[in-house]
Amino acid sequence: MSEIGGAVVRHKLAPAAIPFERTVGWITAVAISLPLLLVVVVAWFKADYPPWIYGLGGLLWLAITGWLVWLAIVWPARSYEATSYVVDQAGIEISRGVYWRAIVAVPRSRVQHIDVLQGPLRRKFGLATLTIFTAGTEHSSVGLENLEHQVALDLRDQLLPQASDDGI
Amino acid sequence: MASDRRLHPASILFTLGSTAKNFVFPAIATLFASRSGDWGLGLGLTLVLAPLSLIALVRALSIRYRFEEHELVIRSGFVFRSVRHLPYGRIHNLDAVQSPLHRILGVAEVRIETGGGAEPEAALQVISLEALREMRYQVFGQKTATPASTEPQVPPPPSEVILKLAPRELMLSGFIHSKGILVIGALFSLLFEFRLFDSMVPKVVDDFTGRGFVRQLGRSLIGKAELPVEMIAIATVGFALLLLGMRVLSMCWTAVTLYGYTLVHEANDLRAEFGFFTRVSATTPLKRAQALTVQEGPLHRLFKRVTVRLQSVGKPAEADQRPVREKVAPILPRNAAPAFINRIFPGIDMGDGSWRPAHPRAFRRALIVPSVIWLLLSCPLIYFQPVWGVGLAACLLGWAALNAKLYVKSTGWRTTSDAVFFKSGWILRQMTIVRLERIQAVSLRETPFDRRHRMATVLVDTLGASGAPHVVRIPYVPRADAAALLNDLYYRAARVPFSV
Repeated sequence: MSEIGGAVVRHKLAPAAIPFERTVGWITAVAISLPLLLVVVVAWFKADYPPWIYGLGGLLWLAITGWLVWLAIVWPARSYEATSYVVDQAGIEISRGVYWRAIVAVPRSRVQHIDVLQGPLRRKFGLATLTIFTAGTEHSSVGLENLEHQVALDLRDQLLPQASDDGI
Repeated sequence: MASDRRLHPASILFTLGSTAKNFVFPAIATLFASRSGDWGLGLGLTLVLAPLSLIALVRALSIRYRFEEHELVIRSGFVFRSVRHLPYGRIHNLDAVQSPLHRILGVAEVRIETGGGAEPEAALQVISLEALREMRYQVFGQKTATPASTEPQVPPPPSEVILKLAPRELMLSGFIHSKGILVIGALFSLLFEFRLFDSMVPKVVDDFTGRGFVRQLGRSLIGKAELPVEMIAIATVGFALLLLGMRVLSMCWTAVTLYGYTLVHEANDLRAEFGFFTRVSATTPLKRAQALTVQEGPLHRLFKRVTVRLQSVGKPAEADQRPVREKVAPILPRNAAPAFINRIFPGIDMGDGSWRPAHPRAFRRALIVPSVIWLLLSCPLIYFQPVWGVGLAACLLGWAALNAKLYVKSTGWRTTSDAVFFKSGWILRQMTIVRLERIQAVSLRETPFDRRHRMATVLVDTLGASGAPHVVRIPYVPRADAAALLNDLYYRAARVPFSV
């Protein structure tokens, strides 16, 4: 934590975020790529379209699979590098996005409630998702995925308004 | 200490009336539909609906309400009882509606909203004006905390009229915001309801302009027929007359529905009262106001007028009621706007009136995307009619350039000691003020294009902005300024508490 105007400590997500996202990436890649391949193969044996259709289909499959594999191998690390947050007296400021970048700042006094969520796969990696709810419209919920579970719990406790400092 | 209060005895009349309405109209409609006069259906309908309306009547008559120290408690039902607690601090709007009959009997229908759902949280049909005054005092007057005595006296709270619109201004307002389309829509739905439409439409459409006209126009475009100049002229004149007629209707409509529009600042609330036949009195606590928008369209500029909207806690109300409440000043002389804003947000720091402009290269950013879209759209025409197509594409690109130039020029923002101001738009100019304590979150976004030009979009998020006509989403801010703006608003907003 840093005071307003003090040195800003920029935190990163849990390092386990990268292997976790890679796992998710591989699962997604297989789940999408295999059925697509199946469609192309079945069409090859069952229907007789002109050969160029199969060429095109194969290329398309290759492109999609390539993109999914890139998402599984390269993307998690880049996304990890691009995401950070700062928690201080004022509240929390989250930066994210590799190409489309966004910074969202939520003052502590505007936090309505906070969820800490853990799916089965995230639990295996010791990760959790922190969701901050505000009374706003577009930023009515601000999520911070792939924190260490304990860090997420601590953050929640830090950000929730204490009875004493409510109303500043 | 808190004693139960009943509704006004006239409630029986109005409850019967409104339940009757529910099946009288279907009954009439069925009668019209089966011209032969199929009485059996009408009778059956009545037999089904009469007990239902009786239940509604009993339920309405069972309503009791009482004022506790911090909440309004409404009980209803004899068989299935319900008790609803509405804390005063959560009540957003207290509306009273008086139709002419209500006024003769000296009563009003009251709707209480807490901003939760689409429906009012409580509707009291009907209570006396004295009871209404007491309710207002109890609900909104509590903040100044007079000790709760057994029988609350009802002293008239200090109130100040901050806007009163003369019929002439209302006509002008009707002219500017054409509500004619609403009137026409109502007429059409009436015609439709009574099946007059089927016989009238073919007459108007086929005989006057007709499919022949449209077809001829289409054929002339691809060079297969002459341009039907005469018909175009008739259609144009007809269309102009229709537009004019709609404006006139709109003027009358506004003058009647908003007749005697008065905006009163009372304690911490704004109360708008208006209506010739049906009088509406809508109270909104000022602390619910999230943002204020000043709008100025081309017609506004012609008459040097503006419209002021107050974005309150969002509730997707019925389409026809929301705008009325939002427009705290349906029409206002332009030079009176700053004073008016000061009355609504007392002591607000308006700054020195200077605006921070968009990024110098914003014009290029604003031009590229529309240009590409227009070019793609005009491709087919260029293929079929090269001369016309290229001409049209040139015109569209010229328009896109003009639009981008003026849009960028009209965009500006500034921050003062207690608010952020944002203006945009050149056809409809809009300026929105969000006070620091109303800011929920601040965000900064950069697309890859933004990053190339080192600019960003800054969004200032408030409560209930989903239906708002204008929100503080500042485009084309130089990147360094955007980061500074985000930090400035974030840290300053964090220092002022927010309370709903």
